[in-house]
Amino acid sequence: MTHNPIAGAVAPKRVLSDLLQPEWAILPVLVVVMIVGAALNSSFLSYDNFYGVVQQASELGILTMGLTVVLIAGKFDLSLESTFGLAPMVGVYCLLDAGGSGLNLAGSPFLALIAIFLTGAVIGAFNGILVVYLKFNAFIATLATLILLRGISLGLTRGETLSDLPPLLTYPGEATALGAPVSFLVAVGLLIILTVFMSRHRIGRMLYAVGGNPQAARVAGIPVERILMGVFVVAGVLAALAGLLQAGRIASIPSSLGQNLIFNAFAAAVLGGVSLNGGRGTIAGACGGVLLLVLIQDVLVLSQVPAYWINATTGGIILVALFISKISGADKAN
Amino acid sequence: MAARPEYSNASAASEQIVKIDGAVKRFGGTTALNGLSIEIRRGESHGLIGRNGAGKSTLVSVLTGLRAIDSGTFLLNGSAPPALSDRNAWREAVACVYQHRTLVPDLSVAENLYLGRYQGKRVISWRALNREAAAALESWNIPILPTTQVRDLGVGEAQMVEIARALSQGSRFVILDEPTAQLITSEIDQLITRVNELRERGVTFLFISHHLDEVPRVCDAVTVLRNGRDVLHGDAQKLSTGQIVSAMVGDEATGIALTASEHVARPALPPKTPVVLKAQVKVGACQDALDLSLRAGEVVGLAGHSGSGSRHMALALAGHVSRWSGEIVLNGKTVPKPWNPGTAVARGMALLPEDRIKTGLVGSMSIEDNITLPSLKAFSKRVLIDRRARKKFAEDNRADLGIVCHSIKQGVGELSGGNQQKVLLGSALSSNPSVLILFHPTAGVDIASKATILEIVERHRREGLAVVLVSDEPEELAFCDRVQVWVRGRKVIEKSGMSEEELVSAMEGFHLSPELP
Repeated sequence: MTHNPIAGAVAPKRVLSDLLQPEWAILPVLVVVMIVGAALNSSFLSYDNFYGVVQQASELGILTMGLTVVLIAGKFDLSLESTFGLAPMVGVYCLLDAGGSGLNLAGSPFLALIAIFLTGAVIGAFNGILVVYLKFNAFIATLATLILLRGISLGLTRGETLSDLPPLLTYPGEATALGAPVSFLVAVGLLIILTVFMSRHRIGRMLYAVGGNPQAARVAGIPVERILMGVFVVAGVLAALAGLLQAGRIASIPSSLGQNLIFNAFAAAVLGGVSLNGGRGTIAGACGGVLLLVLIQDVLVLSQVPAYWINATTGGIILVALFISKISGADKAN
Repeated sequence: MAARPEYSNASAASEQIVKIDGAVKRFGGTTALNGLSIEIRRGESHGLIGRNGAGKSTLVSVLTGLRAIDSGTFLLNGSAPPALSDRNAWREAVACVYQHRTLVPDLSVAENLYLGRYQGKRVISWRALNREAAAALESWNIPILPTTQVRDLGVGEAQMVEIARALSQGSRFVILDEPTAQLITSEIDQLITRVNELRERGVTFLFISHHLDEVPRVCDAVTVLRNGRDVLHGDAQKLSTGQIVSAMVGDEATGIALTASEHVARPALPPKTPVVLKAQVKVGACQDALDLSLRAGEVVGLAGHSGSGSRHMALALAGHVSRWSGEIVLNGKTVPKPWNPGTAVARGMALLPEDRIKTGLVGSMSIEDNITLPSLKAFSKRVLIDRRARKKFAEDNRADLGIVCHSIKQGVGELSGGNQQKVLLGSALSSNPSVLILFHPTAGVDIASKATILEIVERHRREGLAVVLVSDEPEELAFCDRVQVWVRGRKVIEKSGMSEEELVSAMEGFHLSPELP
């Protein structure tokens, strides 16, 4: 990166300071949730519980990272949750033999893996064309693709659940390495790469400029349209990856995989200080939001809140968390 | 109509609709009105003329009750004006048709006429509303169907609807703020005819215009403002254009060739100085094509008011206009089409846009980020940005441009106008352009920053930067080696060493110079 040894030593510190930006005003809230969780149920602090929490947080986290990149660039993508469900389905569907419900198109699980990411990229590009070149309103256009893709999932599977997934596809979602879920390692890796990319790569900076003031970005000679297309594609690929991880963890692909997940992703991003108006927020902040959200849900489950009331409680707690981040000044951007 | 308020009945006999004496209005350190006096008599069309910053807008905001004067007297219809908060009283006394449209485009003409003051009943009767609107339009002789969507109206028609709305609100005093700036000739003729008709029927107009040729066609009386003061009152039919222009410009500047001193300071370019930009650009709205040949280190001004086409063509040069014809040769190479800002910046054409908040800076980003935005690629080493080089560049710029801030990490949104403009200039220059297009580079900037900004540009010019300066401010245009003046899509003159008077009158649509094109 640089030939100067001093600069080289400074770099990791920089990454750390990027991870500790103001978005972390959410931190006290996280601590409170942890204390409450530990007080309510002793198993909250157990390895098994954290293992599960971290797994779930990784799946939602990777989806949220994709969404965050889109939000920072000043756009929206609601259809990410459908990509989350459809992409692994397409991969498996190509792979399964005729005895199952599949087409047996691809003999190799590697090809299936490629098909999954390709699906994410193609869907992202499709959304990008709608929003960037045809200038559809991002909210309504990606709402339409959300419904369309969810419908395709349903049609492909006729509402059934795909099971008997090949090990290569379930491995990243269920395996453990170094005592942590592989999906968590993947998420942390992505967090670091994206954080460095957003703060230290020129395209990362351009993204903030495009989201903050697209006209100014244009004057500066930034290819606004190409950048935005890239953003949608990256978000699509990340959503596909997140879907693959969840499919691996539950070792099957229900036709509803990822349903309603986009709301959690939005809530997490906003809790983590990402502006819905574009131009502000960090990947690390969004991941903090994810952690908070998943921990809250975990605490609710452990304290035996009836399953039917989890959603309502989560909604209420998101509002409280927003209120706290408002008084703590973390939501300056919104 | 609602009952007319007491004060206007009581004063119906008053000769003067407006009588302002010695008005002073300050904004912070600047004095916008500095002892201004004006009298507008009932039933006349009164022309208000002055250059940018002369105090016209402030006067309009006082007349429409948006601001109160700090000192001086202001009589409206012969009595003290209503309280600023009494919007209804103001609406009934004064109406203003602004340059920007204030109609709702997706509603019909009738709805726009009665927006916010539907009469009585809870449910709107469309038939009654349309009937009432039709009657109102007809009574003012405005041939527009009340059911037409405002979106479908031409600029001139929309203006007539705005006037009709003002009249239907009860006001018989209408301020027209540069009504002809965006109109084509036939629409201007129509507007003038209609205004004159309405005046015959007792409506008083305050007519603000940059086009002096319109003044005798519309106005009875004229007031010229300069530096927040009224410097000339007179009969519009009798005053000569020369008299008006010299009042606008002021005695101190008359006759001095603006660019002369600069020419003395700038030695002639060496004969072999290369031509960096050769352009033939025709944009739809303009009759004439922009014909430009610019050598390294040369500064050419494009002068003209809004609607003159000068901005549009300069934007086309910078790649911000998708539809244009002609050819741009930059550094000896014909530029590719589509010519977009990205390619333009990459090929050495930089732009300093006119609205630094809206189109120039990214408010959510730091000084450092903004100043290096067009040149991020140059700061990228292999994969990542070289932070030290970037920081050094930003710090150098901070010192060089004299940007006052506590750190280059500070958000540009927190800076003063002058400092923001310096950041923007640093940003435009960061890509090492060979041609820099400046839009109003010193607008809304304090005097010290003005000097710094022009100094920086001058320093780069000496190193071979060619500059296109788009402005309607003679002070800025004095920086140019030669100036093209544009009026309504036509180039009226191109010349060096124009006097302020000559420049101003050319932009207002008159050539004082004997050597007309």
